[in-house]
Amino acid sequence: MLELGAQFIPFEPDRSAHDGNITRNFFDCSSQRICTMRNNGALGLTSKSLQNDKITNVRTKDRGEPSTVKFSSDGRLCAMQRTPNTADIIFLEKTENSLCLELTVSTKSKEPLLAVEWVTNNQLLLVNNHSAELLYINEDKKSSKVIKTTNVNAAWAIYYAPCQLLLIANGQSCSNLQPLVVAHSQFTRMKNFEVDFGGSISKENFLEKDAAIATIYGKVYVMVFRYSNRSATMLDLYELPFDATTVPSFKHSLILGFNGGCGIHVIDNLVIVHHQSSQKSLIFDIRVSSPSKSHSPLVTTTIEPHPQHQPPPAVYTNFWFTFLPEVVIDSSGGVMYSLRLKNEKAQLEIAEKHTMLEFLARRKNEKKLFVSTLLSCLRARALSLRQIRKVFAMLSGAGKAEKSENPSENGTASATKAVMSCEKYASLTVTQQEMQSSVLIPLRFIMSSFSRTSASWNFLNFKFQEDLSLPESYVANVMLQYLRSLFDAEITPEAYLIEMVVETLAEAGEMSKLQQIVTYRVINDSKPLAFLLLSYEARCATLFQSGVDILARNKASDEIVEVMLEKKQIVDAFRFIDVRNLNDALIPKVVEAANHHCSRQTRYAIKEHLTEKKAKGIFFLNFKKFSSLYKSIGDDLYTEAEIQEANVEQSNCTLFEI
Amino acid sequence: MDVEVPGGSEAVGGGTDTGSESSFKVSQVEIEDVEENLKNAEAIFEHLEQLPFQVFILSEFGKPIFVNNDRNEGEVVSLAALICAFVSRCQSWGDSLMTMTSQDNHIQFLHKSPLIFCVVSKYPEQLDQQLEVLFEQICSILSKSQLESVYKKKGDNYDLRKLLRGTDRLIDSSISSWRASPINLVDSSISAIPMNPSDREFLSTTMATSLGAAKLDGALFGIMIAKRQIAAIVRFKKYIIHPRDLNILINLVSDTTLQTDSQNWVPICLPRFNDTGFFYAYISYPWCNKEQDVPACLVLLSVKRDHFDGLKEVRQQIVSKLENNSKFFVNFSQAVKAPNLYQISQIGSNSESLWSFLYLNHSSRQVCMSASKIPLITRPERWTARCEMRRSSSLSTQHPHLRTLFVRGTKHCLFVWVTDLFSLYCIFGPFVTATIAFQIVEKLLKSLKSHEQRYFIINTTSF
Repeated sequence: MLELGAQFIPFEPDRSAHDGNITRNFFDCSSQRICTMRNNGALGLTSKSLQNDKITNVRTKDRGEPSTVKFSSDGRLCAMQRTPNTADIIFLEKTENSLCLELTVSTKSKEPLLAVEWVTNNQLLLVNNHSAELLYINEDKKSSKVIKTTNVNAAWAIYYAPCQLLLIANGQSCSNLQPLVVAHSQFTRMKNFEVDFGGSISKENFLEKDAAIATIYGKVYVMVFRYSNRSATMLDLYELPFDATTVPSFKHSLILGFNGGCGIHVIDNLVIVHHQSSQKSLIFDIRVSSPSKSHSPLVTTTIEPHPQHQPPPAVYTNFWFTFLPEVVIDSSGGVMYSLRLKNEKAQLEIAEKHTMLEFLARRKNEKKLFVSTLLSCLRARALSLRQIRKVFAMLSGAGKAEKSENPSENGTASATKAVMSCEKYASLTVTQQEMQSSVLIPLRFIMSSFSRTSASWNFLNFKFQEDLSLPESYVANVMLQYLRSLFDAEITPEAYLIEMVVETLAEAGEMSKLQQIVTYRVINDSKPLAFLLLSYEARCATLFQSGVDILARNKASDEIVEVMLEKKQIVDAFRFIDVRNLNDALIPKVVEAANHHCSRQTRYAIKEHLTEKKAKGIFFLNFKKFSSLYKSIGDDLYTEAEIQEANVEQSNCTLFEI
Repeated sequence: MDVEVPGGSEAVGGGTDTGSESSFKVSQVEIEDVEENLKNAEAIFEHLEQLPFQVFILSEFGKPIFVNNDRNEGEVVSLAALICAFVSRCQSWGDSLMTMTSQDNHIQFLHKSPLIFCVVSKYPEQLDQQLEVLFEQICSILSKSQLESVYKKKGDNYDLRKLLRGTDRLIDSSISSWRASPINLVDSSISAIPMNPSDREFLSTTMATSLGAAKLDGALFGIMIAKRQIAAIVRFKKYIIHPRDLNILINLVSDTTLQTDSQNWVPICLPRFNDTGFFYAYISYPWCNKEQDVPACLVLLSVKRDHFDGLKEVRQQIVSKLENNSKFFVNFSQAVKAPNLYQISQIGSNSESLWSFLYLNHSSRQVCMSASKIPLITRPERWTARCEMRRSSSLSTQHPHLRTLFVRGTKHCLFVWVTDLFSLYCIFGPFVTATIAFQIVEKLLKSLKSHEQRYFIINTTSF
């Protein structure tokens, strides 16, 4: 599931040649650049990054071997620490005799520096044991100026550039961590907190290498290795709040289950821990629900090199260095790789389909994969209805949950101001349209009735239609679950979705369910829906009434009359006109229908009724129209002979039976 | 006791007997014929399905006695056995089988020892009463006591058809008069011929005085019947005759074979009056086949066998008295030839939407029905209306608390009003509202009340 080197960049590996030429490489976590220094810069300083192709190639004075090299984010300045107490600013774009100009800065107290970091393109952060200073570097004047100083007590410090966060360790065993936000030329202290690193006699102090900072699902976590003699190592995650008043808290504990050298990556909100000796990588997803704060690895896998590397490079070697978020540096081969998740393999790696789908839904830019996987799971009927409901609820509810989260965030912001910000996590949203076009409609296509009825489809898919055809009721249930999830999320279902649900329910023969969702107004009334229901009358007679009810609620009286006439309920149609006092213009239509379909008896009744209406003066058709209408019914419905015969039979009590 | 059976002779009886025996033998000897029989039975079942109704009468021992629709009883032997098995099985459980219903076939059973009656019909209403009427019809020919004793005397396997020979026609017409007569729609009722009150008065007093003057001990009733309706009825002292018995008489006199100017002397048992003994009916059509052709029939009932001559004289007297009153006789002939039924237009204006009605007086069990009116003209049109009334009638017997009912149908509206005094069944046009229907009905009742003596026999004159 992990692929090495989809992106890579080669560099010159470390070398101490006998001719006295030394090559050293440095990786700047903040700018994600690798810097190769030959003879301490005298023979050249080259910096490259995976993100862009810009390669800086300059020469500097050889003023000793640097211990750190840091680039400003615009790549114009470089900070280098050649002595413990000072830092040198290299102006990469200003040269003199092909050598870069330099400027040496230090803290006021001139004490050894613990950290040198670029906060902005021209602000440099220096941290020593007692203070943190923010310097302004004027590139033009080649001067520096202290902007802000704050007193800290630091054993070591790490800087997390994405959030401009400085984490300072102090206290007896360095386990008290003090986060500081360096923003707007200010230091903002956040609440300090104690971490448990499993301290013991053999391991007295909490070390810089055991801590890391990462952004996972829109929250900033401090990750701390906790060692234990008895049990295996854990990776504890402490959540840093965004404001300065809340104390950071212990949130998750990842069970690594091994001891020994390992490297951490955080890729796409997943924590990945590589274990060198067992050559395994553990992938943790803290969103996978867990009964306690402890998480077991979701996937245990091995890194595979990208096929473009031939021969494939060795993995998990001693020469590997890993840097957050996804950088792997092979120091012996001189290649910087990026590590990539291959989510399409999740289907194979995660057995539990529901977990796998949720996992995919949380990945960035994997909507297509998620949707196709969802479809194949539904197709294979790999999910229980309950699980389907959960998945749908996640998809539909995501937008709503975020919305409800945001105001609360704003609410806390008004009370306690956020001092830190980080990359927001956007959960996957699948619109109804996408859902319909890529999941529900394909499902309908392989519904058994569909493959039965559609000859062309039969022809095309003759082979797999046998094993793949789904029962209609299953498809209908899936759709109902989707509809339900929309309702739970208070999203108005689109008309086309409802139409499809109704059609599918009808095809599945789930008439009672259809009846219920109509009767209880689960789906909104609409004329098209009404007509759809009317068309299902043959399958379920009561649906006809539901359809007419909808029309009645929509005050679509004319349509109701039409429907009745269509159903040859001519008398009812006429009664309806009477009751509703409808437009007289409908009456000729009724009479015409009666002339076509009705018995003589009914036509006579209608004729009499017209006469009566006329007599009462509640009939507004003009005389000409009326008489033509009257005539159309026919004057001689009953012949004199018939009437005479009936009269005789009736008075003689003639016996007859039909 | 020997019974005089109208029509039939021993010789014919022997012939049918051997016929049935030979068919019996054939089915026993030749096995292939079993299948043939089965096919035959299937064909019969199919045929039964298509009929509006089918009646079976059989003995308790499964011997078919009567089937209607011009079928030979022999054809339905297997079916008769089935019916018999059903009934006796239920009887062995200490229960009695009443009815079986499939989708649109309703089967009603009636077990009146020693006979079993069964009817299969598409119309479920009043089937039980239908069977009772049939039983009474058979009783009227044989009397109940005879019926019970005949099997004891002649053995279980006795073929009752020998005794009923020639009366199939009567049973048939009884069935059709019950099912098809517009009068019998509501329970057992009779209808009076509409007549001027004074004419009816004259007719009944003439009949009463003539019968009274003859001083025949045992002559109990005199009835004038025409067109299945009663013109007048007189009785001896407090004796009364039940409408069902009257219907048996009407059924008898409507038999066309009797309608000559001859006189008939027919023994008849009226089971509601006394189901063990016989009346002797003197039946004559005094103005039949003469130049007048007045279709009236005079029935005089006596319990004595030797009253023929006495009643003949009474008849002569009545006829001459009636003919002598020429004014009456003209009116009477007119009323009897073409009974002038109640016209709905008599109600008054705005009654157009009332198409047909049937009024039943509960105490006298007399009905008054409306004359035919557009649009209920053809037989199917009238039949549908009738069925509607029949259904609502059985509905109101099933649900005695049901007093008024207004149903808006697609073809017409139905209005039913049942009180202790009367039942009224109305067919209205489809566009009438309940309020208007009720207004019309109130007017109708008022009008009927004012013409009561014309359409009903209010007092039965006694002698």
